[in-house]
Amino acid sequence: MTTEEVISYGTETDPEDMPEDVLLRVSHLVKEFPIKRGIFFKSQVGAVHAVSDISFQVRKGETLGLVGESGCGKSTTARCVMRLLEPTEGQVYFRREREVAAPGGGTEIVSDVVDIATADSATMRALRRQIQIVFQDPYASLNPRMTVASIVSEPLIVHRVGTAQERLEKVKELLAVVGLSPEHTNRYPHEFSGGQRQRIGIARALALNPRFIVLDEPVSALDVSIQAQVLNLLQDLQEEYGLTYLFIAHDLSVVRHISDRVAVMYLGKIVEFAERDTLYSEPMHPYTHALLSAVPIPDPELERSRERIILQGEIPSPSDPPPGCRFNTRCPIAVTGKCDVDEPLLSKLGEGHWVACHFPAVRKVF
Amino acid sequence: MSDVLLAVEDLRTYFATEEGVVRAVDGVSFTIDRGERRGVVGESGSGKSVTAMSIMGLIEPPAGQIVTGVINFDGLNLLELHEDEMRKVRGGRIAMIFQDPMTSLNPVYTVGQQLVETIVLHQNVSKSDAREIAAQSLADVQIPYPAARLDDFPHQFSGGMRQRVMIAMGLSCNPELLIADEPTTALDVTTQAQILDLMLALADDRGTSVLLITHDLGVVAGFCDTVQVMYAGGIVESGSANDIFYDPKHPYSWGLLGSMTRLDAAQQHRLNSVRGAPPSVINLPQGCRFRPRCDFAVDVCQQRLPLLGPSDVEGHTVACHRAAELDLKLVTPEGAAQ
Repeated sequence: MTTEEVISYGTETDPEDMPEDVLLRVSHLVKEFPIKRGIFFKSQVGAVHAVSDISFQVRKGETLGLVGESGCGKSTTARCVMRLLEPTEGQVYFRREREVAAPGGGTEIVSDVVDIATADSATMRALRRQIQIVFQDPYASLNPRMTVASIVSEPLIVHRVGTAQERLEKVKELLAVVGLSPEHTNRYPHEFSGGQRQRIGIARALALNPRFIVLDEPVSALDVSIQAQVLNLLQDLQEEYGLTYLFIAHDLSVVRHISDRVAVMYLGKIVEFAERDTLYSEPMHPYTHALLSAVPIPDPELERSRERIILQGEIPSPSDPPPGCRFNTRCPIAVTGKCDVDEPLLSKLGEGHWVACHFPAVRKVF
Repeated sequence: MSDVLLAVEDLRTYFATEEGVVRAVDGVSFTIDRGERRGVVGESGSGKSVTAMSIMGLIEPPAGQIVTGVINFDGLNLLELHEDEMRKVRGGRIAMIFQDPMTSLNPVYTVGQQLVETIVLHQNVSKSDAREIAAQSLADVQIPYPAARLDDFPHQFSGGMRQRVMIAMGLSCNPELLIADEPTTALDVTTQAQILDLMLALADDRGTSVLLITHDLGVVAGFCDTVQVMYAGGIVESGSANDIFYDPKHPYSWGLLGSMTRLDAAQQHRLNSVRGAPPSVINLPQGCRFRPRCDFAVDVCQQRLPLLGPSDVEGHTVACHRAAELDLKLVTPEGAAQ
């Protein structure tokens, strides 16, 4: 590999060059949480580096899987993309669509690129019709005192869509779309099972006909048979409405099932990024190898013969990440003097395959 | 050669609630041989954990009650033991590891104090000897600087390290049976691999029988010799791991396997999910409990509850009226290798 072939990922920061087929471009996103000491005179003594300079693009109509273990920064990334958290640095470009008056009378849809990270509140408010989120815990994310009708119609009320009667019709339609009975409108969340509640959360996210949905561990809290139902539903909805998903999960088998492309995160960094099948059959980063080899497969013969890469030690604290490659403290192939000094950049090593490692190599893990 | 260590016969554990009687475990029978690693799989509410709690004598009347059943552990009927005698068995000859190590460890005592307490209770040793055994058991679970870490409190350990401490505590008295209830569910996948690896090596080394309760069929595939699938308080299928994974005979086991997303599945296919949701254990359906969700149900399924009975494969039992005529083969070793 010559140096010419090493092209660092995410160097394009100009929104004007964002390709037409890209819906979201996250560029050099950084999120740090200050650590403060003292009761009256609080002073900052450090920072939790939750997300450290990550870049990725989500194309229209695709599902991008963001996968990693607890503390890797995947949920923080989701919240920054939604601007539920203020990014410390970096841009989150979104290709929005707006209805404007056409020169010849009537209206037309025009698209332009806005930076979610710096957008003002009026712009954000309009944007939220196009970007929605579904959370992990269907018990905590639905207000127990609201009926299903008021939960699902709330986005419509906030954005002043339709009359009360039209909204009720829309709610019934949405419930049918997610596989719930339209007669359930006057029930409360506690009357539903976990899987049904997650369907309510999805109906709420769909209410404003969004184009982009962030799914933050949407099936992790569900039993296997219910998880399969919700995954099937998400795929059907994507096909029917042409939705684009950012799918965040820790379960690598679920991510393989639903994603078109996958980014693997470790300690606030993207370590590998590839087309789905490339990532699973030709992983090149030692962390991806370990992660994939650790996932159990429901097949006894295969499991008994599989070689497992057992990582030693624990994930370092994000308030004090190691110098050089963040994985070097646990990496089975780390080279002292290189990996603990130089930080590897995300480099292109194949068609659409980006790896941040000084010594990348394909390794089969099953 | 079968050397039965634990035999559970027709166990029924019910709970009285305001809405009615919850039949959490309703007629469960199985055995575990010495050295056998048995997996119990099923979804929430299937009765997996209550089965384990019943064996450990942790069902507290009047809320919960073991209505009938025999739990025969090496010649002892655990259900007839006096609490004093049961206390010697629990933690000594049978140990249990729970899902959440933070709630199972006492936060105000050091790990050493808690280990020493268990060891002194079950083994006739002095406190200083117990401390040595405690340090050795932390070393066995590969905790660095075991002697020094005895003086640390649970919060000073990470999640994976805490689960190691729980395993050390469970195995410190060399139990004959280890019951592990979702021991790795709260852990990240690379930590899970570390812990399962460790449990497998320790159990193998000591010949400990293990009853592993989990919802993760992948974990069972790698860890267990035999598997029982539970649904709504009963066992619907039981057999060797290969029997259950390659030749499931109950439509529920078959549906569960088809619902799983697989790491090695190259094609993006639609998941073959089980429709509907598990029944309320207060109002169980008439006849077969899986009938409302079953694609193969016929009239007889509504009339009679199928009992766990033999199939055409030795040691593979199934509770389904149509087991003999259905061919549910889903995964073959060849198919999976592709």
